[in-house]
This record gives sequence, C-alpha cells and structure tokens, in this order.
Amino acid sequence: MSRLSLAGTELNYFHVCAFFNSRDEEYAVLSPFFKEAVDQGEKNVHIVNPVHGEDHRRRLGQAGIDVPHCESCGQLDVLEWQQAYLDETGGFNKDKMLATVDHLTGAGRDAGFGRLRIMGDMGWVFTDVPGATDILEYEAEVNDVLSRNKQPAVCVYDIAKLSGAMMMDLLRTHPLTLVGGVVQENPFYTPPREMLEELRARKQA
Amino acid sequence: MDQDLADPADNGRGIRDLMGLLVLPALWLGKDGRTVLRLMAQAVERLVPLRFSMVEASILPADASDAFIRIGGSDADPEAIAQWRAASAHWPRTASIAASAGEHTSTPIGPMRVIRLELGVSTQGGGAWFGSDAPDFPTFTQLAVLRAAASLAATGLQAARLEYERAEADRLKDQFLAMLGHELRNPLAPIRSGAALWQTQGVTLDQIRRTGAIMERQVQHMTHLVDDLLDVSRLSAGTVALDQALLDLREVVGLAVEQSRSHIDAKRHALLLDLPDAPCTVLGDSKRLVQVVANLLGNAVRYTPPGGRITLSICATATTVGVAVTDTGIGIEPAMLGRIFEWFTQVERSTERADAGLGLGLALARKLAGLHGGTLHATSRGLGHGSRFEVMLPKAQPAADIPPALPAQAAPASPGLKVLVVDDNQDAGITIGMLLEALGHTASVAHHPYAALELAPAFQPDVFLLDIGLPGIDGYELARRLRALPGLGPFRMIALTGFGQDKDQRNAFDAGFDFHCTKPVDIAVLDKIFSGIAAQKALLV
Repeated sequence: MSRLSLAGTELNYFHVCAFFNSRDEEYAVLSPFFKEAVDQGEKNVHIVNPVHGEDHRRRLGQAGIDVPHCESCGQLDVLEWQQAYLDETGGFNKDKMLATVDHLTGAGRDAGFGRLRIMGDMGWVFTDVPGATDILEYEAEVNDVLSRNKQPAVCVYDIAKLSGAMMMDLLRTHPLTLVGGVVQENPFYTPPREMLEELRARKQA
Repeated sequence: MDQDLADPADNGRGIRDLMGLLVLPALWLGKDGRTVLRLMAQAVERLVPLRFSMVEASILPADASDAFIRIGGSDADPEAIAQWRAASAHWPRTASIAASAGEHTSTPIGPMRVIRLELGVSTQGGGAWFGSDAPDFPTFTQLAVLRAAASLAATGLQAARLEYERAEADRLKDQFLAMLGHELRNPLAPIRSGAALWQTQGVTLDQIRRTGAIMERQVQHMTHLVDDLLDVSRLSAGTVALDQALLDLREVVGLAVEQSRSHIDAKRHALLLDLPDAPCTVLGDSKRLVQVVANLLGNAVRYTPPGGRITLSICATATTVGVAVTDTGIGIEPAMLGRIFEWFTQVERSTERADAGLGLGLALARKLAGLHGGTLHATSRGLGHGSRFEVMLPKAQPAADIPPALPAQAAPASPGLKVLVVDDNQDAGITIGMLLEALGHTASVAHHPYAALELAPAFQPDVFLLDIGLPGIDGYELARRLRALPGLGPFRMIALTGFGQDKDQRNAFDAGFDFHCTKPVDIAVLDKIFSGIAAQKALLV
C-alpha cells in the first residue's frame, strides 16, 4: 500500500484542518504531501483562489513537481473556487459541493490513479459569498464522504482571518489538525451528528 | 459541582473542550495583546454558554487598564463599554471570585451569575469576568474551561507585551544607529573639506587658521558625542564615580552657560539668568552637574526656534535646591513627557533633524541627577507652548568656609622637551609628532613598541607619549619595560589612548604612567601637562 503522510505523519483519518500563518509556511508543509502523491502515481486536485493560480503552479514547480506534465496527463487538476466550491451564481451550495466531493472521491474517481488527494484553499469563506455560513455544516458532513471513500482532503485556513469562535468550530469538525507544521489527531473533534445538532440549535436560537 | 464530577458524559466533554482550547495559542502568533484577549473571549463562547464576558487589563505594561466587553456573542460598542465600566466599578478586583449558590450580580443586561478570574498569577495582570443567567453557572466543567482559557490568554498577553517591547527596542536601536551615522558624518564633512583645502596650491595662512578652528570645533563635537556614548555605558553598568565636593549651584550654572554660549548665540536666543545673591550649596560632582545643566540648556537651545527665550533660574524648597530651564520652544506632547528621559528617545521633529543629537542628553541628565540623590522632571503645556525642566538636588549645609576657587594661572610656556611618541597608527603618530615639534619640542615617533625600546636609550626622552593598543605588547607592558630599561634618565610617561573608562585610567597608573589622556586629546590639556613637566625639569637642573 502506498504511503499517505502529511508533515511526516502517517494519516489514519482523511479530513485535515490545516492552519497557516503565511503562504510560505503553507507550501513548506504541504508541498511534500503533493509531491508524495505525484511520486506514487496518485492524483492531486487543488482548489485555489483564482488570484493565486499561477503562483500555486510556480510553487509546485519549485517543489519538484512537473506541473505542465502532471496537468496534461490528468495527475494534477488546479481548479479555481468557481469551479468547485462556488456555483454559477457565485454562491456556496453545501449539498452540491458534498455531491461533487463524493463523485470525485468515489464513483467518478479516475481509476488510473491509486489515490486522490484534495487540497482546498478556504479563503472564500471569509468573503461575502452567499451561503458561506453553511461552511461548518459542510465541514461536519464531508467527514462521512471522505471516510466512506477513503480519500484524503486538506482544508487550508489562514490563521490571520480566524476568530476564536471560528477556530473552535473548525477544530470540532476535523479529526486531524495541522497547526505549526505538526499534524495531530484532534481530541476536540466532535462526531458530525452531534456537531450538526448543535449547529441547528444555534440557528434556531 | 459534585454532580458534574459524577457525570461521565460531562467529564468527557470537559476534557475534550480543554484539549480544544490548547490549540488556541496557535492563533496568537504575531497578535497584539488586545487581539489575544478577544480571541480567547470568542473561543470560550463556543464552549460555555455565556451572556457576557468582560476583560480588563493593561495591554502594554505602561498603559492604563483597558477593557473590552462581549455581550451575546458580539463586541460591545464604546457606549456600552462605558455603561459596563460604570456598572462594574464596585465589583471586587483583588481576587478570583466565583458566584455562590443563588447569588446574582447586577449588570446592565440584568442579574447574572458572575465569576472573575485573574489573567496571570497576580492581580496586576488584570481580570476577566464571565457571566451567565443559567442557574447552575458555572458548573465544574465550565469553571475548568474558563480558568484554562484565562490562563492561556494571560500567557499570550505576556508574550504579546514582550514581543512589543522587543520590537520597540529594535526600532529604537535602528533609529539610534541611523542618528549616530548622521551625527558622526556631519562633523566629518567640514573636516574633510578643510583637509582638502590645505592640500590645494595657494592656500592662505588665514584660510588655514579659519579651517583649523572649524576642524577643532567639529572634533570637539564628535568627542562630546563619544563621551555621551561612553557615559551611557558607564551609567548602565553603574560604574560612574562622583568626585563630590560642596558646590555653589550658581557657579555650576555659570560654567554650563559658558559651555553653551556659542550655541545660544548661534540661534540668537535671549538667555535670562535668574540667580539669587546668596550661595546655593549642594554636595556634588562639579563636572557632572555642569554636564546636567549644559544638557538641559542644550536641549532648550535645540528645540527652540531661532530668536527664542531661555530662562535659567535657581529654585529652592525647604530641603532641596535646583535649577530650572524654561524655554519658548516647540513644547512636548503629553504622551511624550513620560518617555523623553528614556535612552535614545527624541521628540519627533520635521525640520530640525540637522541639529537633533543622539537623544541621550536628557536620559544622561536624569541619571546623573539621580546619582546625586536628586530628580529631574519636565513639564509642558503641549506642542507650541515651550517646556520647563527642573533638576532638584538635596540641599547641603551652607559652608561658609568653602575655599574660593583659585584663580586660573596662566601656564608658563614650556621649554622644549624630548618626546618619544609610540603609536601604531602612523597618521596619528606622525601628526602628534608634528604638533609637538610645532609647539617647540623635539619629537621622535615609533610605530612599534619594540622599536621604541630600541630607540629610547639613544634618544633619552624627557617624556614618553604612548598609545595603549599596540602590536606585540600593549602600552601598559611597554611602560613597565621602559621603567625597567637601564640607561634612561628621568622621564615622565603619558598614556594617550582611546580607552577612556575609569578602569583604563587605573590600569595606566598601575603600569607606571604619570598621566592618562583620552583621544582625541585637547592640545591645551597636553600643553599644560608638558608645561608642568618642563617646570619640574627646570627645578632639577
């Protein structure tokens, strides 16, 4: 079985919440994760802020990934937010995104690659995107999808944009955390059903 | 609370929540203290059902206590903060308190069960109040979570303060180095121009005299800068020794005015002296007290636009006597009043950079006043309203028998002496040799200590003028060897060195030197020493 490691740690769960203070720190930690996938014949799907698309490709190249080759052979898909998280109206549709992830990691997964690794830049959550308030429900529910399909996904958050409450909620929706370059099993993780109940109660309040 | 402990589900959630809190400090990297506290308050709202939280702390050590309040999950606006601060004014602030069973506290949103937790291990760190209308607040688990959050936030606040202080010290250091570069370059420019002028064909004697005087002034200015820097080092290390005697402050003022006269005149300031007729006696080090008053006077000259008025007066209380320097200058903002006595601090100016100094004068003056058991304070009614600096010293018993200062005696012209100069800096050695020749002495220059040991018996010097930092053996060792060298007649030794600390002077005398002079030496000082040596030699003949 091929390795599945992040920041030197073997992953036993498939949903990681990664907090970074800078893009340099982000790529220093994540690039080996992407490269490991390429070296093992796996597929990377990266969902990035459209303004960072070229910078993202440049940084992957600096990490030793042959970006043009990987993109042409389908081993790397670099998608913009509008091609994944956001729909044609520019809003976030939780159910549609869950279905997309389920398709990508399940029935629709390219059989030519041993595994699919998803990385999502979650910066859009902090813009005025309609539906962005559903992000916590999405993060809770996507755990079941990723566990069922056994494909890893890393949600990338910029620490500078987080409130204390948001960080607590994000921690509760991811079984693995990556903070300060260290991956840890998250004892604060709250089972999705319990978390969804609490989120519903908050909405009603 | 005992019931909480017996509830395994609650215990499990409590431990889970505490583990979650431990990630919180990752959010704090690079954040200021206020943000740290706000993030903490936001985070605990996800773990404990709170109606409000109020944090009261000094964000920076020197700041007054600040407060922010969250009500119902949102930051309170300034009006609400004022209302809460007034309502909470009588709440205890000296210890951690927890709501007793059934006890409620009146708040602007109604009666609440309230607890207060210290931010840190002492009441000086500030405190955080958390309130809820839940009848069982706080449960044991909730209290544990809130205590952990407050404790983590206290550490984060402290780290943010230290980071601020580090960054501030770094900023002041960079600013100081920039100023130092500027201040050292300024006098170098006329010195270089003067040197270039002297090398041109057709330079006149008058031009040489005028540029020579300019260069001498600039060297004095640079020497003053270096002396200030060394004083910072000495005062920081606590190695300044006062040479105390009973002094009349009026004389101290007179000497300080004499030192500052050329700067006062250059800016066309009017100087008003308000001195009493009777002596004002203090016990102090004359040189250092003159330095204090001259620094205050220099500060007034610098920060008063040309044509201003500076008043220098002596003031007294029952137990103290002091000097006040009042000016009509640019004044000081209230926020800067507490900081102007810190090292390297200067009031921001836009147009007077050329005359800014190093920002050491006031700090030195306050330290020196403190060494005398005195104080130095500044007052100003704000920008554009001038300022007043008052140095107060303990009053000494009037001494009717203070010996009057001896009238300065003109130094007799020194007959020619034979001087062996030893300096490995060839330019320094050659120029001092030329200067001595010009003053009527016979000079020989060696650039290595071993060359000096060889040369000395044949040259038979009356005076050795030795640098200390020499190759092979240092000036102290050279002095010892010269003292032991056979075949030399009577001679005196002068240390001429860049090492100017008190211990350097002691080392020189221990090694057998008769005099210690710090580079760059004032030629008048050197001439006086030579006159004394010449007079003694004449007596021996």
